[in-house]
Amino acid sequence: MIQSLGHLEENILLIVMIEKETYGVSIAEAYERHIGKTISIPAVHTVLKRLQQKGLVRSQMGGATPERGGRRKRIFEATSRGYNVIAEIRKNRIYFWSLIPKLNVQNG
Amino acid sequence: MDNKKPNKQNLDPPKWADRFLEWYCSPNLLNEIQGDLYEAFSIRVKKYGHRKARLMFIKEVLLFCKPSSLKKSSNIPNLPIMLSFFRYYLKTTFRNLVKNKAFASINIFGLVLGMTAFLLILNYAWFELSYDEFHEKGSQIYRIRNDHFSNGISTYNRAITYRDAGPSLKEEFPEVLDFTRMNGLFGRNLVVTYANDNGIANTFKEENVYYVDDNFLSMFTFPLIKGDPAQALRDMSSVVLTESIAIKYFGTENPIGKIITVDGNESFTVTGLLKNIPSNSHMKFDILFPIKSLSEYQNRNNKMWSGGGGDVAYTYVLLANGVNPASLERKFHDFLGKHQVPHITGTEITDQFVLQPLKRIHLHSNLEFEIKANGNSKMVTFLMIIGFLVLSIAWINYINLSAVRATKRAKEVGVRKVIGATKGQLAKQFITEALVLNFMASLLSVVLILILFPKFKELTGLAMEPVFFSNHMFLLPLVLFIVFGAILSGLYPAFVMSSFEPLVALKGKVGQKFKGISLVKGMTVFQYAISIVLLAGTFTVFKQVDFMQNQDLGIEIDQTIVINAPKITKDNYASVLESFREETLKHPDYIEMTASSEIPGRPFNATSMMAPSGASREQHKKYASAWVDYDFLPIFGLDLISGRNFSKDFQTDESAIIVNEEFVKSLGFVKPKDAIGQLISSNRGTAKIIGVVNNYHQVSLKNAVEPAAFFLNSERNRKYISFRISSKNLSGTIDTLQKEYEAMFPGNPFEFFFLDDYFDQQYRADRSFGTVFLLFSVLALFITCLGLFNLSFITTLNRIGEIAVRKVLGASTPSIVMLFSKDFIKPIALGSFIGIPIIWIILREWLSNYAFRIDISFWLLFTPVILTLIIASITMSYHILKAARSNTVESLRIE
Repeated sequence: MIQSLGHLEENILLIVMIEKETYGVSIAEAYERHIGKTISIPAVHTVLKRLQQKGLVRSQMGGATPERGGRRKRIFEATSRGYNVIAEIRKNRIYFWSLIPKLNVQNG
Repeated sequence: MDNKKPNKQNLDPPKWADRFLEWYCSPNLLNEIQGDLYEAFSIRVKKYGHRKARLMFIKEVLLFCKPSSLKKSSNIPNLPIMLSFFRYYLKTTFRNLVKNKAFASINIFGLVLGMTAFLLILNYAWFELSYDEFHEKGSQIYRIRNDHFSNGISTYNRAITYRDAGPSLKEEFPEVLDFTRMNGLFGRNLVVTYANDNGIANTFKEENVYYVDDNFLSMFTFPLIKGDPAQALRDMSSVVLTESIAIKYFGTENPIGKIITVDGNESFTVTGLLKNIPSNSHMKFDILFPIKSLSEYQNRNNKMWSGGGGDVAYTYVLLANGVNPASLERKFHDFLGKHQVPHITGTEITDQFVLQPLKRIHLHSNLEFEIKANGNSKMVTFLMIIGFLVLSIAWINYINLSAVRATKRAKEVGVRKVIGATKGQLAKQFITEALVLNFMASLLSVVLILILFPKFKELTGLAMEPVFFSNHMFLLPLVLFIVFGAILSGLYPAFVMSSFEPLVALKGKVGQKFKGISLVKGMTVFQYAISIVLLAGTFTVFKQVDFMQNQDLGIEIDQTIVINAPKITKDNYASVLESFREETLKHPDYIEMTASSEIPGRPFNATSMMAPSGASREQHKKYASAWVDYDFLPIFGLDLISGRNFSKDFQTDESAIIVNEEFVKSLGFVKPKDAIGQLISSNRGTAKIIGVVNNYHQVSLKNAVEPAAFFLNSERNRKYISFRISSKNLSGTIDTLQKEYEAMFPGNPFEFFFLDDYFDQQYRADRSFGTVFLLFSVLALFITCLGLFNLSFITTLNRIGEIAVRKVLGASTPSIVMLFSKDFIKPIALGSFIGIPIIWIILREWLSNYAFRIDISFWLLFTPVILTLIIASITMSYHILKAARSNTVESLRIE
């Protein structure tokens, strides 16, 4: 069964898979770096929470840093289901891509 | 490096936002969220700068605030559980009340007294504020206030204005939809007669009579019981009466169509019957005549207004909806310039019109020639403050007693805590207790008010109607206020008691180290300060009234009876009056008689423009003027300082005047003797000063003595006939007088009064002020003592062991009493320290209203302190003595 994913959810999930140690701020940073738009921390948290509810990421508490005033991080990593969902999406995209007549692309 | 320390200061996001986050965020999320926000903040500081980073931090804290990150709170109300808890709170509250009957009843009693006082005052204030609220078009109606300036100097501000101003305003300003005018008698009166079919006449003197435009009854909301408001005053010979006046003249007969006679020569037909005028109306009238029945109002001069004289009227305008009165006022300047009659050269007379909102007239106007005495907004505020202070004393009692009693209840609190009660539950318990007590007190005070209201009204002389049960607008804020007060007074004890450490509380050691005591002491000081302020105020008001009443007035007003001079007279009035004098004085009880235009006890009515003869017109000044006969000076006992009285031996006395010392002073003479023989020119011709009388008090000592001149009377100015009589207990004597009067002046009602009573009436307002003060200061002191009584009971109870030990070690009863008394004397001393400067300032301000006043002496301020001290010592000595005399063995056993 294909898990339906929102655009933002997909992007964040991708970032979780790309980056090494991913938590709220680092994801927001990476998002800015890769996509070129800023995103607020609460938005990131909301998406991560949703991804976790869907079982696509899992999390555990990490360490603290001085910048965080001693507060610990919650580190996220993608679950195998997460990888599968992304792979599924990729497969679908490629399939659809192959269906697009080349002419149209050139015109576009 | 700083960075090694995980320290918030390095980061410095907005503290309040951070705390807010900590407050709402559920603890298991807080770590990551707060950490992320801090980290993002430190990145953003480098990236965007401090300001923006802070703003973003705040924004994100707010964004995080959503259900998923909120604390899983246990305070989410669960109604059934709450209710069952509330029932439990109520149950324990009543158990507590029953267990401590004496304590509870004294507490409730204090609250009832405070609340009753407060509610009575509130009722008064509410009534004062409700004036003229009943007019349907009231918000659009304004009265024209006429300010008058002479050479730019304000000469008067009047409630009346030119009689033609109203019509011109309506013609020239589209904003003015309509106008209506009232012309009154300005202190005169009318004799109204109704003769029924059998020829029996009912004759009364009427003062509350007004002449009004025919639209008066449609502009204002004074409902008619019978008659058509639009038509009732159309006809020139119509008249509208109030219900009570109609009953006075016609009894039970239908008044409509009846004919009444005014001053014996004019007849009017009753066309309307008014409901009695509500007492919260700034106009009071019994009879309304059409204004057209006055000859001046039959034609009008469109262009130029004539001023002065009787050509003035109260003028009310109805403004169109949404008109800003201030912008209309600005247009009045040119308007007035166009209509005013040019005045005498040399003086520049200018007028100014101000629009007074109808509803503000009663409390905020206070002009010359008000229809009825205005209320005093200061008095309303002042009484409200006093009422609130008395109530707050009662609340402080509650707080203090509960806080001190907390030590007694420490064990209860300890047990509750051990069983598992939370702070919040304990607090709710104590607040419930406060609410229940306040609620019971409110119910009782409402009952008390129902009983006391007429008595209170009579005692204080405050004009008001009960508004409690008729007005919902009044009830809601009241209930809210009382609930608020109850919670406030319950909050402190609740807070103190719920914060006891259970172990300490169970050991019963709270009492000794109880921190709340300092607050209790502070509040007690406040109570004493209020009591002392009120007591000192009472003393001063009564002393001032007493001073005014016992001061030598410079005149004789005892054993003097005054009757109103007849109004319906014939041409031979002078000779009839003379024979009236002769006939009456034949009776041994009557010693002397005088007819005059003025009597002591009311301000001079008439004024004349006067100056030394030869002075220019501008130098003429306004002086009070009275018309008297040959016997005026001896009857009222005025001292001639210099010169002589009017005498029949001098034909020239027709153009002579007698003046008072103040008059002489204002002319610039040092010695009264120098003024004798001076010629004074006035608008009544030139007159020679033949005598100077002492500065007697024409009116109460509130007012300074004004310069006055006495003319030998002409017939028309005889308004009062006064008799010096030999004794005052004489109903037979008055009957004789009445018979003579009615025989000599048929058709005139016989009305008499004793001059000393009449003069005394001027102090009625001051006395009622004093009574209110007395009432509330006694209440305040009493409630304070109630609190003190309970307080001393509890504190001595707490220290009963200490007393026993002291006694065992050899302390005497007096020394123990002394020791305990010190605790109570200190707050009184502090209270007076605060209270005395406050009351001194207030009293100085109040006394400055009086031209003749007492000095604020040391004793005036310290007698209240001593009185408070004595009463407080008596109150507390009961418990202290009891404790000091108690059996030592018994006391020690308790410990």
